[in-house]
Amino acid sequence: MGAFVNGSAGLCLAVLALACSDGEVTQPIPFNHNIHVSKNGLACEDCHEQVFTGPSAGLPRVSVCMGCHDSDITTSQAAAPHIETIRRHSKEGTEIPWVNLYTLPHHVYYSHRRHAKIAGIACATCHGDIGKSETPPRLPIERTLDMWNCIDCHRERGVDNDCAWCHR
Amino acid sequence: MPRWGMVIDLDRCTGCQACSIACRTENNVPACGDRNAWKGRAIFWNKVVAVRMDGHGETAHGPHGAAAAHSRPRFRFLPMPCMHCERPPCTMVCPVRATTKNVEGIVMQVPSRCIGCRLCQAACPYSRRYFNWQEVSFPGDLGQALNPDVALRTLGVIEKCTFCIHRFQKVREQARAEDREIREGEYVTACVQACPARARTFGDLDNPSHAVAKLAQSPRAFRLLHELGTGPQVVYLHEGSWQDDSGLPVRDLLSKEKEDHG
Repeated sequence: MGAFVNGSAGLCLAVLALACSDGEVTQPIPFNHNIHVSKNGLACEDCHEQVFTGPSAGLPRVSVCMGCHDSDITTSQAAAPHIETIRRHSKEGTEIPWVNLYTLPHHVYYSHRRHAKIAGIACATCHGDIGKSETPPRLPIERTLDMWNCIDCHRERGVDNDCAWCHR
Repeated sequence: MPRWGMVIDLDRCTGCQACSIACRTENNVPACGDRNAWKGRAIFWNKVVAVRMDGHGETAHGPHGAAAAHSRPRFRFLPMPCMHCERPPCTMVCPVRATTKNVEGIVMQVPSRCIGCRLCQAACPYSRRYFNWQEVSFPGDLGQALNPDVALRTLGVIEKCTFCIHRFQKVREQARAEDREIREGEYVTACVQACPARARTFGDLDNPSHAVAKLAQSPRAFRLLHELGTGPQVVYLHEGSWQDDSGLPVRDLLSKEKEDHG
């Protein structure tokens, strides 16, 4: 019996692993970039605050969301439960558990500041039309980008492809 | 374009090993365990080699051996990071370009690209390259105190001193953001920062205003095995002739190092 229970638990895990093996994830809030960026004119750096100052652009803190959603600026009924979620996080002093999809391998040093601020590369160069998407991204960055994208872009712009600038 | 280099004053070095420890902690250098240490497989990106100076060589008599009773044992310390050669033999033999010479003079190793053929280890005349003979492990709680800026290596790849490249990347970015050159002392390696005797100096060898460039011109300056034509960017300072003084010529010392961990 014990073996059977263990076996079925193992099977469940295997099924779960299969279901997740395409690498798609669901964010805690189905954030709509289109409404925020295209319709209401927010800039990327308004929510991804460290994009010009740090290596990582950062995911929005709950206080950033509350900067607007503290008041009832949203009339959409569909968004109401998610606004409630944000307010609950704010009240409890917890952060929204965003799933960070855009993490690079540890041996790569990628800096948003270096690309977005110093070189002035537009966010869409790597992130595509994310400002027009109505659902949050679901795929990790390594499924959409690899080192050849970096190399090609560097070549196009005549930037040095020295290993030491990005690897460690 | 800077050419980063280091000057190590052997007359100041007390052999305290602070540089070795600083380097290990900064670069997440793994511990290899007793068994591998006995086989000479311990990894030291920066190794302080003790050379016995009283004419008895390093191994003939231990410091407490019979010879010690007659002549007071004298040791000299030779701290050895990667020499970051101008013409590095290691990069020339790498079949997968996992190790390259950077335009600013740093010999870079990308362990994630390495296939572990160890040609570079054989090619390096200074034995400054180390192979990971086992999975990375850290004793006790040390595994929870790793530097997040340095990637861990895996089993079967070569690793070496990178002049703390992760520090350089950050400093370079800051300088670029402020649209200026990197200032002297802004980018230093962990070993230089830790040296209590200030035996180490780091900077741009091509910039005459940097202390390191002045020291490299000193009459006390010499480079290890310079006759090989590798052109080390780590320059040593020592009063008198290192090789005549030591009793064990530096070439023998280095070949012994090679036997130990090769």
